[in-house]
Amino acid sequence: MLGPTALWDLFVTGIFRGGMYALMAVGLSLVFGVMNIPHFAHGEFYMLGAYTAYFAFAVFHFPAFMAILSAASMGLLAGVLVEKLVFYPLRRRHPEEWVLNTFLVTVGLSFVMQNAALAVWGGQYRGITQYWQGAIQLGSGMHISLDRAISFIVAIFCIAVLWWFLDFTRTGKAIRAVAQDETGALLVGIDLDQIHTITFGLSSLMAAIAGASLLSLNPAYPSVGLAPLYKSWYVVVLVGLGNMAGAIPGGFLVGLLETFSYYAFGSGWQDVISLSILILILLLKPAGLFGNRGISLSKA
Amino acid sequence: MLKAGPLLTVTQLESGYNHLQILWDVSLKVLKGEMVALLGRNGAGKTTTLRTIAGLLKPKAGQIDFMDHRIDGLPAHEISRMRISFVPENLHLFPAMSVMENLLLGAYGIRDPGRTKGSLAFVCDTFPALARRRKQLAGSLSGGERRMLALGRGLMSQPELLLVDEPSLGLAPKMATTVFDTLSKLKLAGLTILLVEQNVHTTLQISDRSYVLEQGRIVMEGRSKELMKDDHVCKTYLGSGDD
Ligand SMILES: Nc1ncnc2c1ncn2[C@@H]1O[C@H](COP(=O)(O)OP(=O)(O)O)[C@@H](O)[C@H]1O
Ligand SMILES: [Mg+2]
Repeated sequence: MLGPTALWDLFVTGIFRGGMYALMAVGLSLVFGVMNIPHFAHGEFYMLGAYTAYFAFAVFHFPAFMAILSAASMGLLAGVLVEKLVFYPLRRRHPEEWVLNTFLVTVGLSFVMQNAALAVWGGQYRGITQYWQGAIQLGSGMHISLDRAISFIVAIFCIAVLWWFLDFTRTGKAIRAVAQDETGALLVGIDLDQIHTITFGLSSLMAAIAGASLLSLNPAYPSVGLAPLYKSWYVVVLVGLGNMAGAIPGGFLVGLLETFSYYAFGSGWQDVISLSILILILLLKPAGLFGNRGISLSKA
Repeated sequence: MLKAGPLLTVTQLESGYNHLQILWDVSLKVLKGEMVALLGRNGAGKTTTLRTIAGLLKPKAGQIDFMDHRIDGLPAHEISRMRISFVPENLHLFPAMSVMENLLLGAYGIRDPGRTKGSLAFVCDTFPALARRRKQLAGSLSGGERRMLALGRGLMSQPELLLVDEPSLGLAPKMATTVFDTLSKLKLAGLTILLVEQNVHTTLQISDRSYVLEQGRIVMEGRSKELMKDDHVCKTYLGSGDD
């Protein structure tokens, strides 16, 4: 049986992983909802964030927050560039078969980015032990390492800021408008190209922050983004494609599920359990756990 | 009445969908302050004409001038910002946003909060039902209310020219009357309107001039009062029990 301390540890691990899955999944959901792109290169922006934070922190000795901030900027920059150089021209020239084509393009992009990383930085792991030393004591032997607590807070903070941005700013509202009705958005004067660039940039920024925050757990290496990519797709399919609000509880659910099944059945089984549950849910509720409600953030 | 140059001039417009040409030769003018109707049977190309003027379709040939600008080929969002509002037949509202959010997005191109406030006051005044339901989601409104909201959203940008496609479609007769009354009031308030309608009888009564579109070509034009007495118009458009 599990003692309270072991249970607490599992719970904390699950919740912390969940925060990062949520951060990744929200970006995927945003890109799918606004741009109709099934994004399979999302993990490479995570990878880019991990590398940037590694070099900033371990090589250039930036303070931890600056390292995460550098990763965020790099993610934003790379996202904007990729949108302008890849998706914008594709939308101009071949808007037909968009979903299938962009799926193939993102798979190709993932391959290219991974190999570029391999060529530039090599295959070795580049990790750090921690950004912040110490732990928060919660009495009776329960504690949380400061490093994990802060990266969790970073994830929650990013999601909250994104929510605020989408709900209250002019550009955020325009992003939601494009997700709900592209023609309607054009008719009120919204520049779709601009919104697509901002959306892809934001989503990449969040993936890079996830990669940077988890650097002490997952060192940077060329294919480090694959696992987070699959996990976030798992979350997105679980809660319903394009349902951005659902991606948050979904992320935590998957984080907890994974941690507990890992504990209960041992490594190797966690994916089997996760996938079985996914299949079961899709059989019972084909639209996902919460259905597809678009990226509606309204309270009603 | 003030003699003014045309606000909108469409010259020998050709347009359609991919390789399917729908409009062959459409020329029309709308003067400032006028309400002009575009009549024609289902499939004649009325919607295609409005979509092309609004920039949702790229013209294949011809020219569109608005005020002093040539606008054919401009993207839709730029045309919208030049203060042409298109209220399409299928509305294209933002269903998961509130009535208020939909209206405020209508003023997306206006960056001046003072002017946006003025627009909002005007729209709430014109459509009191919208003001009462401002917190409700657009997707949960009735058909009539959704049409009001689309019109209201179109007015939020304080347009010079309003393009309206089938505003009475699917509405109960009473609701349709309200819509026509509203359009007449807007015209009285100085708005220029290009209107497409199935309800030819009412349209000829409230509009100043009309064009008749058949198979992608303008086949007739004139003052609406005179068209009402025209043989061809009577037989083709007024005879078949249009209330
Ligand atoms: N998206 C489309 N793709 C191809 N053809 C279309 C499309 N929309 C309309 N059409 C065709 O264009 C013609 C004119 O349509 P439309 O402009 O909607 O007519 P109206 O508004 O006068 O009823 C019709 O024959 C219709 O079938
Ligand atoms: Mg039509």
